[in-house]
Amino acid sequence: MKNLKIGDILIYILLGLFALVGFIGMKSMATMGGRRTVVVLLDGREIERVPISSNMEAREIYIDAGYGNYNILNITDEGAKIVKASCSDGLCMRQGRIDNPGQSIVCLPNKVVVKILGEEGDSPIDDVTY
Amino acid sequence: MNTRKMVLLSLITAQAIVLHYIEGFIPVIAPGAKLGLANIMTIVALYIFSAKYALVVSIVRILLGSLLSGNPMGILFSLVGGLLSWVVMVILQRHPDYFSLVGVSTAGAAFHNLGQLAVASIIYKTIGIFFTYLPILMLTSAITGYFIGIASNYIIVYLRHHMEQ
Repeated sequence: MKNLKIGDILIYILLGLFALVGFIGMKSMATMGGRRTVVVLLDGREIERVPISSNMEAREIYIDAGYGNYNILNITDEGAKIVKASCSDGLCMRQGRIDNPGQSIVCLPNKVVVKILGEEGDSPIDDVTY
Repeated sequence: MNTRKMVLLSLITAQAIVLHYIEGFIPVIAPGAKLGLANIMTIVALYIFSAKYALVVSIVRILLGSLLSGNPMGILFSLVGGLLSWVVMVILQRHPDYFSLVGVSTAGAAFHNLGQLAVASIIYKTIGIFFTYLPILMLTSAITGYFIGIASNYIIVYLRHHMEQ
């Protein structure tokens, strides 16, 4: 076999670069892939939409359910959680923190639904059923 | 085209189809990361005859080989990969001072994979496939391309000697 020529070496370097591009692309896709949005529904209507990003500031959202009823939603980069509510059973608070696309928190007395939407096809799980 | 040339070309194409078929039995570590045995015959046709006949061998092999191995869906992937690979190999082969057989074969393998990946990401509408498989496919192309190049060299040296008689 003849020795490798200068162009052959270049081809191997080029392949290495392609592999590197793929690797970097894969990494950046992975951080982008977890793009999630918290959606707040009151009586079926969407009233708030907050995208979750890494190193975002924690936010508190006051959900006014009318007649003095309320839920206070805490959103951080780790997900969403209802920290305070006027409802009698407090089930919404007990549902804890949600962070995966497809998960939701429901407060029946106040007709409040908080859910997390992900980018389609990017969720590690297909769907969640309860 | 004289008879001798036609017979040799038919033999090369037949061998390419058989290699394509046999390769289907060899397990792969990632989708598309094949040995590329059939590419040996494309390279042989390219060096012994011309770019035109290499294209004929490649396309006939892909069409018949895909039907033989019962994977007609793979034809589109293979055709785009095969065409891209052929274009790159023909360009590199024109500059023998800079590119040896190993380089041509490796570039052919890599661009075959690139073509297939491009089709896959268009069909499945995600660029993610492209990036995810790029590193592993480039690595396997570099390794298989090298050995395929050496194997092709043996055949080409032998055939050239044979044809001079």
